[in-house]
Amino acid sequence: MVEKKDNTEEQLRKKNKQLALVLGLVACLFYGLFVFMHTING
Amino acid sequence: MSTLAHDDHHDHKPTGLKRWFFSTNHKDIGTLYLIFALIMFFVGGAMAMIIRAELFQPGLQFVDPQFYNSMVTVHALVMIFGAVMPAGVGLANWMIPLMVGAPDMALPRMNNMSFWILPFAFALLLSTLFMEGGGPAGGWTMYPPLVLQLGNGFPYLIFAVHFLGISSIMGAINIIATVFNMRAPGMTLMQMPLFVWTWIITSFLLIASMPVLAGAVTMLLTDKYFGTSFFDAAGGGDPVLFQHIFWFFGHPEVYILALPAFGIVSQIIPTFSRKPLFGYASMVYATASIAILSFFVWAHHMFTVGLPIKGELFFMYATMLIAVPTGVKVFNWMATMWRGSMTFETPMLFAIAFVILFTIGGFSGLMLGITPVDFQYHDTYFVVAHFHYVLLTGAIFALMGAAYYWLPKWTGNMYDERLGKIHFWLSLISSNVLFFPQHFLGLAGMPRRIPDYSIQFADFNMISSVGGFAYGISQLLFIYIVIKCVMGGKKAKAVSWEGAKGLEWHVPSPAPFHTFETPPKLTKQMLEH
Repeated sequence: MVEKKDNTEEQLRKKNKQLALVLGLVACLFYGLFVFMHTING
Repeated sequence: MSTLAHDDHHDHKPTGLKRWFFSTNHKDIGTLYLIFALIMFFVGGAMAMIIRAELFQPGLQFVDPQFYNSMVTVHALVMIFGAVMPAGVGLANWMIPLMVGAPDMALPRMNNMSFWILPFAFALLLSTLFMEGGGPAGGWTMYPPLVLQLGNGFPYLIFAVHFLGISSIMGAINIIATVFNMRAPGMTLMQMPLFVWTWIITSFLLIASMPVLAGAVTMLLTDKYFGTSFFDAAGGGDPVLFQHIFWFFGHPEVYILALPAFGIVSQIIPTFSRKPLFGYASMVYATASIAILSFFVWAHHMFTVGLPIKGELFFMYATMLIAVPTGVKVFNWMATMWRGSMTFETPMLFAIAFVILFTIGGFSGLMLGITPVDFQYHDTYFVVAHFHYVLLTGAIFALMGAAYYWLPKWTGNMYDERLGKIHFWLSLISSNVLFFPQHFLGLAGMPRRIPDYSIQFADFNMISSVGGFAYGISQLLFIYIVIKCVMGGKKAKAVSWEGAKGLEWHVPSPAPFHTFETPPKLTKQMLEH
């Protein structure tokens, strides 16, 4: 029972980290694209 | 009922400084955010007092023009990034896990980092005031080429903005992960309280717009120190490009400040009207519509730079369009109150004042959104009056209402209702004395961001300054009320307000250190809002 709970918590933690990573990458992408777009424009 | 989320034997918490520096508890971090926001509110407020003292009468009285402009600039940065945004994030930290039945935020250590970046960022920003060349003085919008004239403080300003952006993005990621992954089993998205919805939408706005600001200030940095000319006409760049980029961030930022306030008011009004929120689904869709539209209206801040006529028309009509979902919200709040068993405790007073005064700010915004009219009003005190109605009597009134609404849940004590009401009425009267005359000053042509003015503006400026000092002093009463409430008072029940609905009222008051360690079994009653 305890093991099962730990497993669910571990899965949730993994899911949270994955979502955070994706959202963080999206933010970095916006930043990078913006600077890159204006760099090649200039 | 109140035992469902809590077992007293397990409510052990760390003590001393360690509890606060290394905290991963959403309630402690929420408290840290709220205290930080309150301190910054008074720091920014002190700067506003200097501004209003200088403008009390024509001529130069107390400070030199450079320092005056620094005060105007840093007041805005401190209030936006130091007071209103952290206060909203503080409320989100405290309330979202309680509202969705989660044991904590999804990424508690990142939550700690999001907060502790803030004091360092503001140390960088405020340290510029003591540097050679003074603090930033070109306005919070940091337009080049003016901002590039800033002395040694320039890189500090840029890095402070970067840190603030990183902190906000991390906070937003945490909120999204918490709501999407940690909701109590059985709670669908359309069953969440509206406060949670507004924060989810705000978080997406943050993730989409903050990197743009970071990009813009990075380009400023490279223009100043690394020989690029993004915004330098002499090198083939264009200073107007900065304005486009800045406002592509800046307009969504307005809604980053306003949407959580909408969420707060949508919690308070049903409670004190003893009725469910009218048009819940339409409120969610209206919030999302406002957020999406906010990315298509940025150039209404720059009608006077010389945009093509078709562009001006597009941005004018797009701006008008935002009035539709905003109107839906205002009518829904009114319909919620309609024939409700209303009582007028302090949170409700702030919420009603918010609805009326935010609408006044919205209407003056519509006036500014009309291109030919904006040619007259641009860069006048009319704009100052407009955004202070939206941000002070709008966002800050909602935040004050939220503090009174949830103080019983946070502290376990009821605040002094009589003092709360005095605080409300003093704030309401003084803020209108402060900002309403600024409409007239703007219409008569008084420019913003100047320490001196023509004699014909003297009377309204004096009235405005008197209102400003009164508002500043009356906020000290808020501190007293909060401290008094923390120290003691009438014990609060788990359901602290008769009409309060939602999961957060199913935990005891004060909310225990750990809540929902086992996911709650939701009943229909818990999902009411």
